[in-house]
Amino acid sequence: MPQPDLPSELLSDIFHYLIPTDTTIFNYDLLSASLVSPSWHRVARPLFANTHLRSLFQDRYYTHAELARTRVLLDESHCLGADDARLIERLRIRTSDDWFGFPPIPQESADHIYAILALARNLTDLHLNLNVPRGGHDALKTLYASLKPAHPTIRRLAVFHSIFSPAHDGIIDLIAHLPKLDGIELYRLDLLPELVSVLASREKMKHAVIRRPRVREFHLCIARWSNLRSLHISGPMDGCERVWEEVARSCPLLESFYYKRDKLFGVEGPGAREENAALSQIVTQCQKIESLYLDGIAGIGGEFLVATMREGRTLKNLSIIECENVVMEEGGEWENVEKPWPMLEHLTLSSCGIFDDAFVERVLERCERLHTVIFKGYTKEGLRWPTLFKTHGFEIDAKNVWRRELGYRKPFSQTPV
Amino acid sequence: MSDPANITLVTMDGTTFTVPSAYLHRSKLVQDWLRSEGDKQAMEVKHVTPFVLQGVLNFCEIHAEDTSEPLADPADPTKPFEADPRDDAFRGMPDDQLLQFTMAADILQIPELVRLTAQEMASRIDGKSPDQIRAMFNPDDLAEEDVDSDNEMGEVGEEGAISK
Repeated sequence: MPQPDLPSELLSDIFHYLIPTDTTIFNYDLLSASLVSPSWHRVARPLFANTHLRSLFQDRYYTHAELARTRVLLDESHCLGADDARLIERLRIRTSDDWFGFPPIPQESADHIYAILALARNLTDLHLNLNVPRGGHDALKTLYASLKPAHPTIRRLAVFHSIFSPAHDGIIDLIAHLPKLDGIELYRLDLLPELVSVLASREKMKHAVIRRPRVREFHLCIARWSNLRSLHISGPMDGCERVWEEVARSCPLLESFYYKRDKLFGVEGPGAREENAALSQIVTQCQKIESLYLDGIAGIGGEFLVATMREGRTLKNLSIIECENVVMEEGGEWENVEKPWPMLEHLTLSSCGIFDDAFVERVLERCERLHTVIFKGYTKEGLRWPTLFKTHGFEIDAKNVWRRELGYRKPFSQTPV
Repeated sequence: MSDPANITLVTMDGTTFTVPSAYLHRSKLVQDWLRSEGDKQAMEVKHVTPFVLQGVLNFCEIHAEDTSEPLADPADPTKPFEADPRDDAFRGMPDDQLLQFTMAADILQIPELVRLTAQEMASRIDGKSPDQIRAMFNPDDLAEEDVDSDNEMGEVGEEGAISK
C-alpha cells in the first residue's frame, strides 16, 4: 500500500543523515534517494554535490561495486528524465582501480563505462591514468572499446603513464578518433613517429602539456598546430631546439609558454646556444605571449631577457627561475631598453645569475603595471635592492613575495632629479 | 481541564490514551496545545493510528526522565546521534511502521523521536537502489504519478536546484 508522502522538512532531516562528514566522497545514497520519487528528488537533489558528477571518479580509487552503482543510478536518472549524467564534464579512469582488469570483470566494467559514457553527452575531458594494468593489454583494449560513445565530445585528453614508455596502439587509435580534440596532456610518453603523426593530424590543437617526454620529432606536430594558445613542456629528456624554432615559425597565437628542464637532462654546449637563439625567436615572433615561464634553462643568458624586455609587449607574467647564465650588470644591453615590458604585472626572477641594483631600479620604476615580484636567491653583499623595492611602494609578505598596489605611482618628492 | 497532571489524546479512529502530561514535555505540539487549549477535555491527534500513538507514548515514557537539553533541530550537526539501547525496539520495526512512526514524531513535533526515526530511515537507505528504497517506503506520490513521463523528475539545475 502506498505510504503518505513525508513533508519536505522531514525528508530533509532524513537526508542529512546521508551526508558524510567527508564531503569529497561521491554520495551514492543521496543520489539514489533523489531518484525515489519527485518529492524525494526535490529535497535530496539540492543536497547532492554536483561537483562529484562534473568530475566523475576524480577524487580517489573506485571499486567495481561503485562503478556498477554509478551506472545503475545514472541509467535510472536518465529513465526518470532527471538525466544527471549530462552534468558529467570530466572523467578519470585509473587502470589501478579495483574494478579494472579482474577476470571476468573487464568486460563487465567496460560495459559500465560504455553505458555511463553513452549518457554523458557533455563529457569534454578524459583523463587516463595508465598505471600497470591489472588485466594486461587485453584489459586495456576492452577499455578503449568502451570509450567509443565519448569520441564525438572529448576536447581534452590527458594520458598519464607511471613509467616512461611509448604510446601503445590504443592511445594512438583513440586520439585519431577524437574530432574535437583541442587539448592534450601527456606524461612520460615517448613521442615516437606514430604518436607524433596522429597528434599532428589534430589541427585544432590549442593547449598542449607534455611532461617528461622524449620529444624526438615533436616539432612536426607544432608545424601543424597554428591555433596553439599554450604550450607546456617540462622535464624533456632530449633537446627541444627544433620544437622552439617551429613554435616561433608556426604558432602566432601562442599566449602561454612554459618550459622547465631537469638538471639531469640539461642542454650544454652548442645545443644550449641553439636553444637560446630559438627561444629568443619565440619571444620575437609570437607577439601575443602573455605568460612566459622558464625554469632550469642553462642556455639562456642576459640577451634573452633583454629580448623579452624589448619584444615582450604583451607579457603580463614573466618567470625566470634557476637560469644561472642570466646576468644583468651595469653597462649591459638592457640599459638601451627605454620602456621594458609595458604590460608586465607579475615578475619572478629567482636563483638566476646577477641582477645589478640599477637593473632592478629600472624595472621597478618603468614597469608601471608591475605589482607582484618574487626576487630571491641573491645575497651578494652591498646590494641594496630590498631598499629599492620599498622605495617603489612594495612590501614583502610572509611568502617572500613583494607586492604593491595596482597602479602605484611613486610620490613626486621621491623621484630622483 | 479536569486533571492538569494528565493529558488525553484521541487518535484518528477515536481511540483515547490518557498519560501523564510530563511524558510529553518534549512534544512542542502538545506543549502548545496545553498553553492555548488546555481547558478542553482531549487533544485530537489526527493522521495517527492507535498502534503508532501507543509506540510514540512508549518512547515518551522511556525518555520522560531524561535530563538532556531538548533538541531544537533533529538534524543538528553539532549534536551527533548516539544510539540508545532503550530505543532498540524502534530500530527493529518493519519499514512501513518506521515510516508511520517518523510521520507521527513529526506531527507531534518530538525532535528526539524524529532524529531517532530519521537516522534509522537513513541507515536503511544506505547502499540501496531507488527501486529497493521504493519497495521499503513506497512513497505515495510515486504510486500516483507516471515516472516515465517526460521530465517527470524535473531538470537538474546547475547547482542541483530543480526546475520543474
